[in-house]
Parts: sequence; structure tokens; C-alpha cells
Amino acid sequence: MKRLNLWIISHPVLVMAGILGITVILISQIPKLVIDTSAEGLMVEKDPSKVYYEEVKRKFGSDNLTILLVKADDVFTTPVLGLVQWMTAELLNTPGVSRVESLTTVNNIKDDEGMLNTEPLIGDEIPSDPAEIERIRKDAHANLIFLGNVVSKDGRAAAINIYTETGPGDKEFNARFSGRVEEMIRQEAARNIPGVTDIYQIGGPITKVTFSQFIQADQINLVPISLVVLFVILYLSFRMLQGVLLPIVTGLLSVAWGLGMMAWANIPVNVVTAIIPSILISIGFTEDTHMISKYHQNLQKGLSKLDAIRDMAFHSAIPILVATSTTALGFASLITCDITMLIQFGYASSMALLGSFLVTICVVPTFLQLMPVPKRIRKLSLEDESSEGFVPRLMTGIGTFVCGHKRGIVIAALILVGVSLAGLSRLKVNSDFISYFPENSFIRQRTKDLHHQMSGALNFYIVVETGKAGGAREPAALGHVEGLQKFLDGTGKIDKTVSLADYLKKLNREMNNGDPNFDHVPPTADLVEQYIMLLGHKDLTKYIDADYSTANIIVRHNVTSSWELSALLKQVDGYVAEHFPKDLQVRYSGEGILINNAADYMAVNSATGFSTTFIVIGLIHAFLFMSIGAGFLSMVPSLVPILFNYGMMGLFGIPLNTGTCMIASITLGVTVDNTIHHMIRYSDELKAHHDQKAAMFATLRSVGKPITYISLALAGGFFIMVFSNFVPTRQFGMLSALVMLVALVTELFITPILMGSVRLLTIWDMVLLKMDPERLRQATIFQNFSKWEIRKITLLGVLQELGTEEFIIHQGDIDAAMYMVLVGRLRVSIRENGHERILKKLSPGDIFGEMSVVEETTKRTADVIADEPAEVLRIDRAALDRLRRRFPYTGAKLFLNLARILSERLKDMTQSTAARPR
Amino acid sequence: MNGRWLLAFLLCFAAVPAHAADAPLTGRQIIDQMSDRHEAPAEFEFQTMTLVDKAGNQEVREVRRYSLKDKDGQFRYLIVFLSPAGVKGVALLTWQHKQTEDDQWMYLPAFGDKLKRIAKGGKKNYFMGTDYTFEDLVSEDRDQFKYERKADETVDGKDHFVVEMTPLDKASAEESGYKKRMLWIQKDIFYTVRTDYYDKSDKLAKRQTFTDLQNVAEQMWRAQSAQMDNFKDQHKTRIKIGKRSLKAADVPDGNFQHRYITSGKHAR
Repeated sequence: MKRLNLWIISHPVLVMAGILGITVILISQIPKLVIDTSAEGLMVEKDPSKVYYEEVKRKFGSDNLTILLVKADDVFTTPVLGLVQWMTAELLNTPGVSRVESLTTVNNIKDDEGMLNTEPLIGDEIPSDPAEIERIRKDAHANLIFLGNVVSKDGRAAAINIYTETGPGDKEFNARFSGRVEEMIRQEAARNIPGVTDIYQIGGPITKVTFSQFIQADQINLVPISLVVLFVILYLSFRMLQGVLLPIVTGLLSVAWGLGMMAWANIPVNVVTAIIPSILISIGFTEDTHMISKYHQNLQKGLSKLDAIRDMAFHSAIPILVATSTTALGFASLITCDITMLIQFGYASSMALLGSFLVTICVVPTFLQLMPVPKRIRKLSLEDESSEGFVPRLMTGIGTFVCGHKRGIVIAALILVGVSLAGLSRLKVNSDFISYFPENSFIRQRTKDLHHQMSGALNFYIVVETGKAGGAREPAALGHVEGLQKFLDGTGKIDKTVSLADYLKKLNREMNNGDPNFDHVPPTADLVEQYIMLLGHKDLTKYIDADYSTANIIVRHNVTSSWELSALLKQVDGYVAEHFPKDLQVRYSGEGILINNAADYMAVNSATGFSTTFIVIGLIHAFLFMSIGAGFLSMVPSLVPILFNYGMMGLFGIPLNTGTCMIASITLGVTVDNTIHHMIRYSDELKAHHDQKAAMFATLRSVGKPITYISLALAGGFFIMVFSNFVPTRQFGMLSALVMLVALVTELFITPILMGSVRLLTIWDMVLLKMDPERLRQATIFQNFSKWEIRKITLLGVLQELGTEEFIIHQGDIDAAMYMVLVGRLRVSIRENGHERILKKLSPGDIFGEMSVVEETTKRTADVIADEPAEVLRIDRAALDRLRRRFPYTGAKLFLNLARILSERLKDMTQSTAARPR
Repeated sequence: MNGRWLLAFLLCFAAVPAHAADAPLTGRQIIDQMSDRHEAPAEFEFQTMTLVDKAGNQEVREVRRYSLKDKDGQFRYLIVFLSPAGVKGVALLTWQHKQTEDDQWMYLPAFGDKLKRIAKGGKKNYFMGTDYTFEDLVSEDRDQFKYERKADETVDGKDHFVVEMTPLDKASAEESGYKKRMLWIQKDIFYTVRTDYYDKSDKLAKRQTFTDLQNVAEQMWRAQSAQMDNFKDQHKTRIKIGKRSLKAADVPDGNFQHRYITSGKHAR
């Protein structure tokens, strides 16, 4: 990794050319990118209900309903009915339309002075005779199937119900169809038909098209604004062009790469994958900011530009790799879920993140090399450290506060977690399509209006299966269908239901001269069969299947939240369980039902997917920090804000939807990134300071700045999403902005406490340890030790690097640590009359300072000074205590060896004393 | 005026009808010829009717069909369903009238022992879930239509007249469910082998084809199978003739009385 970084730094032109080349190739793919507005992606993949839905569609036709509503002072006038007729005829000739129902298509079964009339309600020509118009009005009002379906009860609105069937893979259908309908509406509106007050369409196709337009509008309007906000905040923080320009460049490149890769992999832009550019920019720029911040600190320390870049690249390589790969892994874990859109998001986001990683490690060092050192830095570097800016001073303040209020902070955090958990239990899930649109959008307005005027634009099927051919013609089965319809009407949530029973009841009544006493399901199966033959089975295919085994109830409603719909279906289940015989199976189907199913999966998926991701990242960190505890503590700064978010959602009734369920992933991406930088820096500082408190302050001062900037900028950027066209995106914007701030507080207040409680040593420290285990094994201290035990012990220690003539122990100091030489040579000496007397030479494998771990408060008896650059391992008494507790066997061996060394020393001393002439 | 000239003038006129005999037939003449050749005063058929939906699901029914010309030259029709069991005995009785509306009754045995009168103008409705409207099943009043001959066509090696049939006036247009019909009439036997039905918006809605032609009497032909393709509903109705009789004895007048039906004899 570091070698790769070095290579990148030494070949800036080649790297830039490579990056540009890939960018050009990927950008050329972008035109292939498709925007997917089908609701299919919201559904559960391999959902058995999907197979059933296809079967139901084959039997009862498409449930894809568009309603064209004509509002007028009075629908029953020649011009308005003419308009309905013209539009109906036009729609019947529109490709993809499988069925049209309106005042001008319906047959009006009625008693005509003892005769049965099965004529259409309105003939081929709209009558101009007022008496005939009145006849139509009267007939329409007398037919309950028509009311709320093709005409409103008050006669002020007429609906044309259009069922469409999309050809397989025809992604343009919705746009084409709703466009055609819109054109017809414009044409008619231009004619200014007297009495017509409004004409509009609502339903699946227009909703999905608007959805797509909103996605695009969001991308075009919001993403740039949010970028501007992000960069303005960033500029205000850094007050340097560099700090803004670089994230812009890498951000744009990452987005271009991400979209290019999506196009190449045939992943469409949908409501979920549309968030990817924002994620790329936010995470990408988190990295950039950490890197630039480190670079500036290096410059301030007085390093040359190239050295500063090198050092930055060295120190950021590992955290960036770790953070990116863990976040990518986190997103990739969505691949295992069942919702198509989230699976696509899993693939696209993890791919795009890896691309963004490449862009970052290639572009940042290269760009910094090409750009001049910012003036501000040059100026600052000349000044004293103490005149550092507001943020470092704030960080020092925070550090002091944290040190003084550890217990209080932990309690506050626990209370927050507790409240969040309580809220979490009240979290609801919503996957409903309509609820994505804000209340004031025309989609919601029309949906509501239609619901008031006629019946809701949403629909689903209730399928009643008898399991035997002809079973659905049995009066008993039809009676159950009728009972269920009555029950549905009684719930107050359903606007309209239509079934075969309605047609049969109407026919039965009219056959009996319109006597309302006969408004019931025919009493015998034969009569049902004969009635169906009279009505014509092919006109009843929406209500009964080919072998008459299954009946279908078309349900129109306006329930736009998953939990309400689920509750309603549960209510229906209850009714069915109580009233239906065992041999009648009741099932629900329709696009709305499938999307609703996704709600449950979304909840389960979010929970399991997220915990899996969480655990996986935690384990990776545990491995990296060589400690399960450290691994999981590293996740706390992510967990607290995420829990807070979902807890607040539960408390304030904001549902989990495709927007808000993203917050966990994004928060995780950003906070893991910050925490990794934080922890690794801390571990570095610890090596330098040998003191936890000092290391914490140093870490806060150095990483605190970028973390604060990042969190504020992201909060600002995300907040702009509040102006989105979509409710979930608005909620996403609001909450993630808030969560970024909570994450910032957690990172600054809780992470230091957590880090103080565990030993931080990274696996790469160990791997990079310049020690020779074979040689170490020959050292007395490691006698009878396995290689693994040696590693365990070295990991307990703190690695310290020494320059030539640097002191590691001062004579007279009191502390409790022993040291082992890993690299280089050192000498033990005492000062006598201002002269140095060398007592002993130390080489790798040698132990010194061991007395202090055996006996407390022993003053150091000699100085230990490095003869050349050296590395020593410092093991303090606390570490040895831990070893003794956790690995008693190894501990015992170590202490035995220590005793051997001490006795060896004693022997030496005795001999030298004995040898000394008296 | 010169007598010779007068003669020549008269001869000219006389030549007109002489030419006319050889002149191409008009649409109406073709239809009249067809009607003269194939119309039977009494007819009985046993049919198997198969309804096929979009998905290929089939529903099979057995039907008896009687038609009888009355003394006014008007027809009476009786259609009786024999199977499936649930619809056995369902019947539709029609009395055509020259000047007034036709009379039509429906009989549903499960409804009760009475015929239910169908209100006027039921002609355009599909008949018992088939793709035939009642209009398609009866012979039309030729005086209410215009028959325009179109260019002849050769189909499967046989020559056909092509005639376009449109309602003559507004009243008959309102009564008909179609804007026009196109008929393909096989020239050698003057028998219609195909009819295309165009709906009010002039869109091809249905097509009926007649196959398996048989010579049943001197110049009289009958198709043993017919199929009505309903393009609008993606549905079709196939009819196969099992038994046919043109003997008056097989179509007694009493069959067209209510009592024949209410007594249940019609379905025996």
C-alpha cells in the first residue's frame, strides 16, 4: 500500500493520464444509464407473491389503473358526456390499453316496464334530448356499480378508468402513455367545453413518470446546491482554495466514475441508487479533508512540500483503505437482501466507493504536488504553535472537559441510547409509493381529490379461491364475497369494492322488475351460471376466472402508508378467519400489495443487513487493532448516532422508508471513516507521547479539526435535501444533517474515553515491526516461548522509536516499565562527576529497566541512551498485569524468565563484587 | 323528326337493358342473388359452440337453433342451450316484424317458468357471452342498407365479390352496432365466406369466416363451421354444425310458442 502511494507520488503525470483515461471511458458509458421508475424495484425479489401476482394478472387482467377524471358543474350534459365518449374512444385506440370503463362503455342492466334492458347506458351518440339525458342520469344513479366508479354520487365528476398492460421491458411505456393522456387533456381543455371545471389524470403511469422527473429534478437542482453549501462551509473552515478545490475535483471524478460504472453494469438510477452521488461526495470528501488536513499540519511542522505529501500519503493510506473497504463492505452487504432496489444499490455503491478510493489516493497527492503551498500555511508555519486557531483551542477545551467528566459523558450517552432504544420500538416502516410525494404535490392533491370525489386511486385485488371448478358460482361462496365487501365498506378505509356479486345482485333485482327485495345474490348455482351467461363471461373476466373456481374483488382505497394497509389486511384476515369456511382461500394481490410486502422485508433487511455490516466492520477493526474490545469500541461512535436517528424517527413518527433506511449506511460510512482516522492517529500519538492523556489531546487537536469540518459541511450538504421533491429524501436530509452533528459530538466526546479504555495497537504496527522473531526467541526473556507468544507480548507493549543519542530512561526517574531492544544499539550509563560511565551495551533482544516492574517506586539507577536510531518495546506493569490475568500460562513463563534474568544479574553482581579487590 | 332516326333512337334505348344483362352486377344484385340462393324457409341446426378467451381457455356449449319464415316473409328464431348442465334449457326466442320492433324473450330455467321479455334494441349486445351480437345471427332487412361493390378479389384460387354494406339512413345506423361490414362472396356459388365488421370508429372489430362448405340443395350451400374472431376483446367463438335439417317437418311452428319453452319440451 505504502509502496503504491510512493509510486503514485513519483509518477504524477502518468497517474493523472491514467485517471483521465479511465474517466473518459466511464463518462462515455453514462449515456447508457437508464432511469428506472417502475415500482418493481421496490418489491421483494423472489417474493412468492410476485409469482402469484403474475398468475392473478393472467386471470383477472392488469391492475395498473389510470383514472382520467372530468369534473364539471354537471356531468350529465351533452357536451360533457360527448367529451367522456370521445376520450374513451381515443383511449381504447391507445396502444397498451387493455380495458376502459366509463359512462359510455358500461352496460346498464335495468328493468324496463317488466322487460329486461341490457343496453349500454349511453348509445353510440350522445343524446341532446333533455329527457334522454335525465334518463341517463337516473339510470346511472340507480346502479351502485357505477357510483364512485365511473361517476361521482353528486354527478359532478365522471371517471374514465383505464387499465394498461406494459409490454415486457418497455420502460418508456409510462412516459408515452401518460404523455398521450396529457395531450388529450390539453386538447379538450383548449376546447373550453361549457360546464367542465377540471380534467386530470392520476394513477400508476403518471405517478411513476412524475417520480422519475422528481428524481431528475432533485439530481439537477439539489445535488449542486448541496455541493455548494458543502464547499462554502469547507472554505469557511479551511479558508483555503485548496481545501475546496480538491474535494470538488475528486468528488466530480468519483461521481463520473460511479455513474459510468453503473451504466456499464446496467444498474439503473432509481430512487435509492440516486443517492450514490451524494454518498460518493460525502465519503470522498471526508477522506480528502483528512488528507489535506494532515498535509497542512506537516507543512506547518516545517516539512518540505514533497515530504509533507509523502508523509500524508503514508499516514492516510491505511486509514483510507480500511475505511473505504469497510464502508464498501457495509454497502455490499445489502446485496444479500431481497429488495431489488437495495440490491442494486449494494452493487453500485460498493463498486463506486472502490472507484472513489482509487480516485482519492491517485488524485490527492498528485494534485497537491501540482498546486503551490497555500500562503496561509506558509504564514502559519512561521508562527508559534500556541497561536493556533479556534478549532484546536476548542479541541483542547473538549479534551479537558472529557477528562473531567468521563462518568457524566458515559451516563449521558447511555441515557441517549436508552431513549433511542425506546423510540426504536415504535419505529414504523413505509414502502408506499404515493407517500413519497409531499402533501402539496399534484400527485397527492389529485389522489386526495379523487378519493373525495369518487374512490381512491390505489387498488388491489382480493382473490377468493374455492379450489374447484365452478366453486365461485356457488351462492354460498358469493355470499361470503358479499359479506367480505360489506366488512370492507365498514372499515371506513376502503372507498369502493366491486365483485361478481354486485353484478349478480343488480341483475337479479332487475330480472324481478327492479324489486329491491331481490337485491341479493341469486339463490342457486344454476341461476348464477345462467346469469353469468346472460351477462357474458368475457365482460366479467376481472371478477371471475375461466373455470369459475376463483372470484376477484377489486378494492379501491386511499391508504398511503404500509403500516395502515398492513393493519387493514390483518383486520381482513381476522374477518376471514372468523367467517370463511376452511375451503375458501383468501389472498391479496396487486402491485400495491407487493410494494407493501417490501415494507416488512425492508424492516427485517435493514435490521439484519445493518447488524451484519456492523458486526463485519467491527470484526475487521478487531483484527486491525488486535483486540475484540477495540474493534467493537471502534463501532460505538457510529452506533450511538445511528441509534439516535432511528430512535428519533420512532419517537416522532417518521417511518423507515427507502430514504431513511439509507441514513444508517451513510452515517456508518462517514463515522467509521472518522473513527478510524481518530484511532490510528491516537495510536500514533500514543507512541510519540507515551501518555494516554497527552495522546488524546494531541489527537483531538489534529484530527478534531478535519472531523469537525467534515461533520459541519456534511450536515450542511445533507440539509439541502430538505428541499427535495420527495418526502423520504426530505426526511433523509433533515435526519442525516442532525445525525452528522450527533456523530460529531460522539466522536469528540465519547471516542476519546473509549480509546483511553483499551490498548490501541494496530496489526500493521506488528507486521511492520522490524524485529526478527527467531533472534528474539534466543533472548533470555523469551526462553521457551512460541513465536505467537512473543507476538502477544510485543503487542502489549508500546513501540518507541529513538534517534541517535536520545534518552529513553533518565537516571532518578520513577516509572514502572521495562523495555526490550528491538532494533539498534543502546548503552546503559551513569553520570559520575559530569562524566559518563558506560555500564553495559544493549543489543536487540536485550531487556532493561526490568527492576521497575518488579518493585514499585524504584528510582531508575542509570540512563539508557540510543547509540544509533533504535526501536524499543516498552511494556509497563499494567500491561504485565493484563498478561498475567488473560494469559496466565504465558505470564508465568514471562515472570519465570524475568526471575532468571534478575538472578543472572544478581550472579553477575555477586561475581563482580567478589572479583573486586578489597 | 325523321322516322329512321326515331327508330335508331329507340333502339339505342332498347340496347341499354340488353347490355345491362351482361353488365357487372351491383352490390345489391349480388346480395339479392345470394339471398335467393341460400335462404331456407325452415331450418334446424345442432351446433357445438366453443368460446375461446385470450389465454386459450375454452368453454363448450351445445345449442339447437331453429328458424322459420312466417307468412309475412319474416323469420322466427329459437336458440336453445343443451349443455353445460347448468344452462340446459336457456332459450332465446325472437319474432321479427316488418314494421315494428322485433319481439324477443329470454328463458332462464333457474329463474322460473316464465319468459322474460328483452327490451327493444337488444340487437347490439353480445349474445350469451359469445362474440356474436344478435344482429350477426339474423338476416338483415336489405332495404335498410346500402351495398357497394368493391374490386373483386381472388382468395385461395377462388374468385370473390367484395361488397361493402353500410346502413342507409340514420335510423338504421343507430340500430346497427357497426359502421360497415365487408363481405367476401364466393362468385361461383354466391356464398359469403368471410365478413369483416367495423365498429363505429371504423376500426376492424371482428371477422367471421365460414369454412367446410357443403351443397345442401340445388343451389343452396351451407358452411359446416364458422368462426368469429373478436379482435377488440381478443376472444373468439367457433361454431361447428353437427346436424342440419331444412325440412319444414323438423321446424314446427309450435316451437316458436312460449308454451313449448315453458313446458320444457324445447330442451328435451
